[in-house]
Amino acid sequence: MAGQAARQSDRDTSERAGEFARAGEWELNRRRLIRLACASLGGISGGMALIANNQSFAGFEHHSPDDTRLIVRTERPLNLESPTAAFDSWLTPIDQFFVRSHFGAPAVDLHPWELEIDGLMERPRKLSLAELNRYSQVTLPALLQCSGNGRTLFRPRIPGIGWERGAVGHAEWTGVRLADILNQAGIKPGAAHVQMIGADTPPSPKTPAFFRSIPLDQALAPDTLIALRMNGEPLPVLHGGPLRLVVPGWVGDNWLKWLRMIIVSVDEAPGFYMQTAYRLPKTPLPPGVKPKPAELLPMTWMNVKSLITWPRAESIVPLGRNEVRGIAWTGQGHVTAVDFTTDRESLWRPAKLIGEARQGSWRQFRVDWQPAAPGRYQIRVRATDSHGRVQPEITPWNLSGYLWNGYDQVACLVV
Amino acid sequence: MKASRTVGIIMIGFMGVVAAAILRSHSNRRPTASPPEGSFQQPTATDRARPASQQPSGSSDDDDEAAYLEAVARRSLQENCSICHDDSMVTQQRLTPAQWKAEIEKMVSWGAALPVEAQRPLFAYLARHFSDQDPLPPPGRSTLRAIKSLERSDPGVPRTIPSGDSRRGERLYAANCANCHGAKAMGGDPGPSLVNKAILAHPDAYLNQVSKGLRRMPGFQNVLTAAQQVDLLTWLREQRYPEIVSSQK
Repeated sequence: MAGQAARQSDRDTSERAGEFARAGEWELNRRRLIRLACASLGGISGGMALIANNQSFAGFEHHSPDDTRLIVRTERPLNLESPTAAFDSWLTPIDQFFVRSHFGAPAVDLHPWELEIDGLMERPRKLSLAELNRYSQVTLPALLQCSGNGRTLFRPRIPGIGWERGAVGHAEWTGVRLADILNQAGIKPGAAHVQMIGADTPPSPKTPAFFRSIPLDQALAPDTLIALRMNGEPLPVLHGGPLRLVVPGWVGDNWLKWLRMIIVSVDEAPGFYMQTAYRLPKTPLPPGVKPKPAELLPMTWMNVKSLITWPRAESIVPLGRNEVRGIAWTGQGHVTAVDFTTDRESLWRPAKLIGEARQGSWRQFRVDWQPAAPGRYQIRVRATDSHGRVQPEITPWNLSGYLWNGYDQVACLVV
Repeated sequence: MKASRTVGIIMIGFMGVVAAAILRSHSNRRPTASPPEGSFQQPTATDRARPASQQPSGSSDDDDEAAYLEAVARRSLQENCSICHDDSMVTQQRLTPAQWKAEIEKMVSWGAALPVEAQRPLFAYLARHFSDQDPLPPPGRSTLRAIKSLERSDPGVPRTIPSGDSRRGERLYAANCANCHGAKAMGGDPGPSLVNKAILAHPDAYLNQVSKGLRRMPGFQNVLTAAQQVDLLTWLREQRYPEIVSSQK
């Protein structure tokens, strides 16, 4: 696998020093790096000291800032994480956008696609893609984040896909308002939830299907869409094409992919993926304490979060004036502030927010940073939203590792 | 037809036993930790058939035993767990013994084709090699284009789908496939669901897998003609989900 390239911790120090010097991406600081590497290595004797020194540099040399390759979490089913480079732009390119599913993308061209609308409907119907295209089309930018984004940052560790920072992306979605479809089909009294099922089959009859629902209120929100296009292209199969739900501000488990059936109901969808998974306790519980089912609520709105996109994690930055850049978002409302600090100072400084505040989108930020001295820095950001919610330093632990939003921290080496 | 299929399955099983025996005899003799305690099934007839070691711990018999159990566990991952997902779904995790136990129990309750006698060795193997104390290896990196996956379909690339007789396909399915993949192709033991699966849109990959077999699935090249395999494909492509489930209610 491509990850072999980064697997260097077990190589000897002289080889590492050589690679340090060879790293072509870092032309800017190449000469200084060679000097630094030679000086550090030359000044140390004793195997342990050498190892310790080696570790203090580990990782700083082999990250290309422009590496747009996806991070492969699992190949079957495909679970792919976006690299930080994917977050440099306002919209995340499709070929760098994270991919997540439970049972793998289905074959979608076996029969003409139909969306069945049933349940508490005056006029149940089946809609073809052509019919859906005749509804009035809405285009909006919205951020999609997997509920498990950041799971690997929780301690104690939690089973699940080992997402770090990149199970998130921001795209422009085009499609039909779910409200238009439901209103035209006529919602019967008593309807409270919109259940949904996609075309992806579970592997065994004993495996729960990915059967989900959202409350009717949210289904009728003007920005809840059945998307047919992403970033102007027909919705790719890996992203739920030909049809997926878009619920701006809500966590990704609600954005059902390969949508085939909608059942308007009195109740939430039954089964594991609605009644057990994708729930959080009303108040955080410590590890080992099993929540009572009644204490768990389905995940809806995302929490407030920010990511540093520049400098890249474990990168080398010049002593002098630097710009720290990133993105920040929240669920309900919008981001009102992003603050920046490092592990060498105690004050937080406000970053400049770019563009307009918009619920469901991310907001880019930047802040000037002039490190006082060379050395290793941990830079940190935290966001605040229009409801006054602030990113915590560490997210309270939860059983499934959902919605990590601790301060984003990036290590870099100032030389 | 049915007889030759049975012979095929028996042969696969026999090859498995031979492979395990070879792995066992060629295993490295390094000390191994005793498996953590769990509440899995008691030793099975197969376990009891092997003489229990009378030697003090650290002897070569114990080493052999531990190496054999490791081989059983690795085979389980490759032959059973990998029916539904690749190894990395498991090996990217770093969990406590209690968490590993819960994961295995969850997967078994979800229909994992994991024989009971393999559960304990798999648990011991995972708890030993993928503990919450172990560091995570760096993940692989790839462009989307370079990833070989049936899930990734290139839009605008037309594929020629061979066309067969779906009624014949239905009969062939019932006689040859339903036993493992379930009467409605929605999965059974050990065969996974076939309805809407990405491979149905990739005839070359489908025909190759049906002919040659994969993991616990025997090859059908001597059982089904190419035309019959196409009949089967035609019927499989006609199955609809979620209708196939909702119509049962």
